[in-house]
Amino acid sequence: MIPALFMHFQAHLLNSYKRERRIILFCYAIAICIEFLNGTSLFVPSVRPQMVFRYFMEPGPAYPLFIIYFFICSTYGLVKFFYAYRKSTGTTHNQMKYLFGGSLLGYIGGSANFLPVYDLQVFPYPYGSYAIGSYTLITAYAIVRHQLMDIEVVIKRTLVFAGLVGSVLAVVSLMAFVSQELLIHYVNIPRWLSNVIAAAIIAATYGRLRSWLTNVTDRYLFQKKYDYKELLRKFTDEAMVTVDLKDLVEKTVTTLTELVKLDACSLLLLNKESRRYELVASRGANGRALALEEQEPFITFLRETHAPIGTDGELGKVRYPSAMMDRLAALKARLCLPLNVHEELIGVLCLGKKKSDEEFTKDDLDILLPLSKTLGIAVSNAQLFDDLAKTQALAAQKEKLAVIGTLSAGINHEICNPLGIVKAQCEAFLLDLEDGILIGKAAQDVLDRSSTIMRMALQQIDRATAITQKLSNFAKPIKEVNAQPVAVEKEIDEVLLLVGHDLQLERIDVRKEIQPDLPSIIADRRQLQEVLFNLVRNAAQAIKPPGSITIRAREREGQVRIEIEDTGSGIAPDKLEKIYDPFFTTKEPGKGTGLGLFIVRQIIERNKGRISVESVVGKGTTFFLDFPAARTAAVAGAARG
Amino acid sequence: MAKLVVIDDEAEFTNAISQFFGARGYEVHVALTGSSGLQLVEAQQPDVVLMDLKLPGMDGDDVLRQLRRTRPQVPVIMITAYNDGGKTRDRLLAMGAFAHFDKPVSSLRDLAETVKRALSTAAK
Repeated sequence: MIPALFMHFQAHLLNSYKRERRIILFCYAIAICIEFLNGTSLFVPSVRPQMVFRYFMEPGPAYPLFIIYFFICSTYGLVKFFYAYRKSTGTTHNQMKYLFGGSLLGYIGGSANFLPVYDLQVFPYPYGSYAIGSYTLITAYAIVRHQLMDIEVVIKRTLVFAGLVGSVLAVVSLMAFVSQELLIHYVNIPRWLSNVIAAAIIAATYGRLRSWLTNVTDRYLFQKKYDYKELLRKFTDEAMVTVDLKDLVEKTVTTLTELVKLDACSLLLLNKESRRYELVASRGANGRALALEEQEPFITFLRETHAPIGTDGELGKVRYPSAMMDRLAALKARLCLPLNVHEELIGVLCLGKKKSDEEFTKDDLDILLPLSKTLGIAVSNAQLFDDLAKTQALAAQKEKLAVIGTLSAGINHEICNPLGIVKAQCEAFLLDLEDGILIGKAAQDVLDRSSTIMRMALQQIDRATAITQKLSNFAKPIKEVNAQPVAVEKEIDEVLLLVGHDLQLERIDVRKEIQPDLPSIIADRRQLQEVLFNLVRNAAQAIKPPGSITIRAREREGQVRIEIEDTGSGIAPDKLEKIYDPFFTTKEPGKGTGLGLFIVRQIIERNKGRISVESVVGKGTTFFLDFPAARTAAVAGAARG
Repeated sequence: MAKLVVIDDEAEFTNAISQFFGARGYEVHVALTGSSGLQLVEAQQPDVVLMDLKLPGMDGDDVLRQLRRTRPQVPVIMITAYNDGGKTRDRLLAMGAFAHFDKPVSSLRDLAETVKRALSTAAK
């Protein structure tokens, strides 16, 4: 019977039962025949004691037929397992490895029992029988470790079922106990009524109890899987609120690689200019940066079907054209998921093989497909945000340049003053010469005076040059953030140098109260200047002259706080909460783009600072900027070092 | 001998002015701030005041206003570095300044002429 059952087993496992049904039925027929003929002298004419057995058979004339039948069946099965092992990948590959190994060992051991039948006592007899046991062990291992059968489902269902049966029994017996033992002395509840009540309770709680039991089994018995799914779900939520594109794509590949334990993971996004899908982030993959054309079959398939491409599980059965399979191989991917937004394919998420060599199961797809959908939206959001940031940077730059135009008075002053000095000194000397005032003076005195004038002239030229450099530096668009220790007072002075004269002309008094020994902050100094510049200019625009702007800076709980206080018109509470909104402005048309404070806040947050505001209508507004003091950072750095 | 008070925080500029006028027979006194300038005017009783607008502490507008009030007979010549197309000039002249020069001053000769004119105006 063993060979027939083995044939049946392998056929079912390798999905070839339909094709091999006749052969299997034939095997069963032979088995039944042999069973009937077993007692006759054809097969086992008599028994004798042998080794540990009291009765060991003597082979009859037809016994070799049985041996041939046994070997044909087992060899057939083993060869099939071996081919399945060679052909398969992932989990199936592992399953087949164990099945083939286990069966081979079991059959070699088992067939050793044929030897003593003919009195051949050579190895592996009599130890071969133990190998049969190992076959069971190895197969059991494959079942549990490599999901050879849907063992999880079996265990889950069994546990849930057991829990439910137990609960039903508990309810019935509790009701019986309560009604027949406890209450019988007071009320006479008939047996049927107590059963009806118990049934009602069971009916009412059944659904909930079942889902609770399922959850508990899932959580405790299959915790690892549950965690991985839970974490991926959490990541999906997180991805939705990540607006920094670079951050998002990096986080995506890192998280997937870690959580799903992948060998490689990469993300391709559509480059709108080149119209190609280009690599933006990858982990583990040693492949070259591959770009896919918008019109190639691989991309068209993902765009049109919104379905994944893969080699595992159900996907493995799809017959993709070889061009697509080549792409999959070039991407070092086992599974490629489309990132679709509406009908557009914005990117492709490529997952390499799992470290465990397991296949991507339907379970995996159930979580990865929604993830790729959400990711598509998240990436598209981040891209929009990226575009917006670029537009904003452009708007900020325009605004800055427009403002610099209005700074002419201040700039003029800073340049005309040194020029005025140089001109007056030189002219005074020349006019003295012209008017004969230098006649009769000692040559050394004249030389001393002329060299003093020249030295002074050089100094003043440097002074004028410095201001033009500061201005052009300030006007330049900020491309890269360069965080470094920044002395707040110095930056305040530089900004006041640019705006101070304007303010003076407008009859706005500027006061500065800087705490001595103020620690530096870590920031991009040009961005800090831009922030201060914007805030001071806003303050000035809020003032109906005369008025004043006070700039304070002091250390407070490891933070450097910069305050910019004006005696302007103030901001009404309902408008106060909107001041950072893009394009919100209370200024007259043409006086501001409404992006000033929006940009200010962005810059501050990018420099790890915070901005807050207090305002009293009719009295004025104060902006507070808090940045971490660099001193504490330096201390922390030293402690680590 | 005519007496001048120069009020300007640009020391190098006041050097040039006092050098120039000093060599041409003027008695020149220099102050670097608005308030010290007012004190100097009180102490020296100058014939003409030459003054900048942007001054530390008390600024040029206030100094001019006060001088016009306390010493209306003393002509004040303003020398500023704003170059704002006459906006500042008009404002200062309206406040009673005798004349206004932008820095860099077109020529010290022009300035000297204006001082002379101021002196003769004051003498009348």
